[in-house]
Amino acid sequence: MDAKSRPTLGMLQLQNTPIRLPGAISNPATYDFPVRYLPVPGAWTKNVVGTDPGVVTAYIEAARQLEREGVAAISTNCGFTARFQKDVAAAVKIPVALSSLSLVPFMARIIPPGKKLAIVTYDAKQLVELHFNGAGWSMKDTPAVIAGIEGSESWTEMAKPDPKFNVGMLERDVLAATRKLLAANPDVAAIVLECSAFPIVANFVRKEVGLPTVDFSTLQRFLMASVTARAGVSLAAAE
Amino acid sequence: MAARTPGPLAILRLQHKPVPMKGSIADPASFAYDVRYLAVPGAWTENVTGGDRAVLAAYVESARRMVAEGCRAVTTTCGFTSLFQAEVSAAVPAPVAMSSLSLLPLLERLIPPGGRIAIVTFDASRLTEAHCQGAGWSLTTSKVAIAGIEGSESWQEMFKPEPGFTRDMLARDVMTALDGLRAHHADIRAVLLECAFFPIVADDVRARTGLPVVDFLTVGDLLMASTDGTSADAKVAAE
Repeated sequence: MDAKSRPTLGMLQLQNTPIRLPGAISNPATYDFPVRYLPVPGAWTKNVVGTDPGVVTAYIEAARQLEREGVAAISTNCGFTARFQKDVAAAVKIPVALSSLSLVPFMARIIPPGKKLAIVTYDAKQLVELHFNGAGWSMKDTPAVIAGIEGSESWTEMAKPDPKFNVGMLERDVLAATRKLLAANPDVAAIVLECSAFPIVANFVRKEVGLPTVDFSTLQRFLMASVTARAGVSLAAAE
Repeated sequence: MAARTPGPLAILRLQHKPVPMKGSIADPASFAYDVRYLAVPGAWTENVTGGDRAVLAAYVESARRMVAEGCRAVTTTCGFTSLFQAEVSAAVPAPVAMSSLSLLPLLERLIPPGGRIAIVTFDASRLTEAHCQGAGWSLTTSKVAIAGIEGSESWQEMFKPEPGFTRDMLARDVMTALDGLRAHHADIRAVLLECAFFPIVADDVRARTGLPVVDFLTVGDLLMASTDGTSADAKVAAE
């Protein structure tokens, strides 16, 4: 199919230099659909992570701009934007999925009853019910446990305007947080990776931990699959 | 070939003769990964959509067998088996999604708040709150409108041991049901296709409505994405 005629994902980005390592959602080669990127004015890791409401208007305006430019769906490159989900979804006519946290209800359903979900995030100290509610669920009725990479070298880098890190560093930091969480919660049956940088290491986590694991790219592939003729996109790995 | 976690998707199917049309769940070419089919003893359209719980044990046993033989996730060819979601999921160490109805909580998050999801099903008179709860949500809290193809020519064919519907017949019957819903509800913002035959016409529904559409293939893809790598890994490995 002609790439120009294929539905395009609109991705609202932080002002921080995007991570474009292989497998990164900000690397166009990761996807078999076209992506249009738009940095959101005033959006940085430091103020989007957490609960500062100030930047929501900029996300709404940027989503409207991408819709006018013809994208088929809207997402972001920061899972903490889950708290803007309802506002952005209300502002455009195309489907919107801002955070992989929205995969939690589905993942909670496909594991055995009584088992838990693990959420591995950029910063567990700043991820709260506000984000979960935005993503469509509540900690009150979903059995999830959370760990973050806060304090790690990757975490420090990602807060910088121009993050400098490598796959090995991120693998180490994400696996350390995951292993610690699983050791404390042996009844975890699946993992949701919140941070948009984590798809880079998702396969590593799957292989090391052996549990079903979804990430930001899973969400974005699902989103695009919903608006794309089957000949054009698959959720599954491209051959 | 891509290096990938070994193990196909297990598709627990009804006893009816499969209909391997283009885009069908019964056609292995509909998937980007390996699939294995197993006809569940005693499972027919009539009793499974009728809520017969006697067939639950056969679904549990079939799932166990397929996972024991190396399948890495489990789904079915009848969305009404969401009644058995908890029991089958509890029985195997692999993710299980019996029904595309499990996608509802995720899909409803992508659309504008207040928007409605149209569910087109094999038989709306047979689809109950218990099926929705099995899939992880409730008619009391989710804003949906449901229509089935009951009474149609395709519906009649699907009860037969060798269903003889055509693609055009199915497209007509599904569109008739969906058009009826859209005539009554101006706030429909997405479509969920319950029946495992409906992926055959999912692209028609997308083209006709311009709405996001998810179906039984989407749920299989999402299951497998959780257990498999991303496209990035697959592409690298394939080179």
